[in-house]
Amino acid sequence: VTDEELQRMFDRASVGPDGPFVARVMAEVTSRRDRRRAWGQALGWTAGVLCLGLAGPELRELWLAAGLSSVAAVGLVAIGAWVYAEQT
Amino acid sequence: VNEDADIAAARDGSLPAFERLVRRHQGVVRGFLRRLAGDADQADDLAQEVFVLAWRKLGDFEARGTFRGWLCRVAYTRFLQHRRADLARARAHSARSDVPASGNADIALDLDRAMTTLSEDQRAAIALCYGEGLSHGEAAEVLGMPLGTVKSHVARGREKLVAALSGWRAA
Repeated sequence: VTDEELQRMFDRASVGPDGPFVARVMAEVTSRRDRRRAWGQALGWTAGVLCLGLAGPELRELWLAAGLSSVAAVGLVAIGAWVYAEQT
Repeated sequence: VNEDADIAAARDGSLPAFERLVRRHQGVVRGFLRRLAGDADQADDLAQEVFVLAWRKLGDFEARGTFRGWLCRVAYTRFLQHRRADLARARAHSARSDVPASGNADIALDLDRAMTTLSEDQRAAIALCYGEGLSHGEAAEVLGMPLGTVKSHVARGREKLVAALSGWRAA
């Protein structure tokens, strides 16, 4: 087997165009992107609700009763907002 | 549309641009992984993971090298991780599905069998240089090996392949 014959064998055994594979990859990429977005949005909503909780006296009491300080709440809101921005 | 424009657009979140990149490079990534894994189904699963990873990590790609080389590096790293996680399955070449790549099934099978006589490093170097047309320099970058080592793997691997395929012409 010469070098040229070896190269020809590789060329003939190479992987050609494959529509199904591309479609499979794109479906997975789209699905994962959508999932990440959904998580980001959920976190964003959570952060928003927490903000409201801090602003409203009654919700704030509930929040504090759960044992979390205002500083921790603000930290969580900031993390949620950051994750949301990162995911979207 | 040129590749640089597609890479830039995909980084900004364009799925059509990324799809064009997948379409352009799927043959190289799948071919490389098939030669490494020796199993077409397993290789395609890994290739899918490689492209999903590439979509997420596009920001890490530096224009110094080629996109093809970067993808092959991601593929090689993913293959090594997979092999470490499941050594027994990676060794089980005898249990592979033997799904032909395309075109000529006999040649693909003969070549696959001959490739199993090579060491893993030789197989990777041969798969990149002969199978996917990368230069020795590009292959060295992908495999993280010195250029001389890659040349040596290609030369020794080629010798083994020629020996394993000695009856091919007559068949």
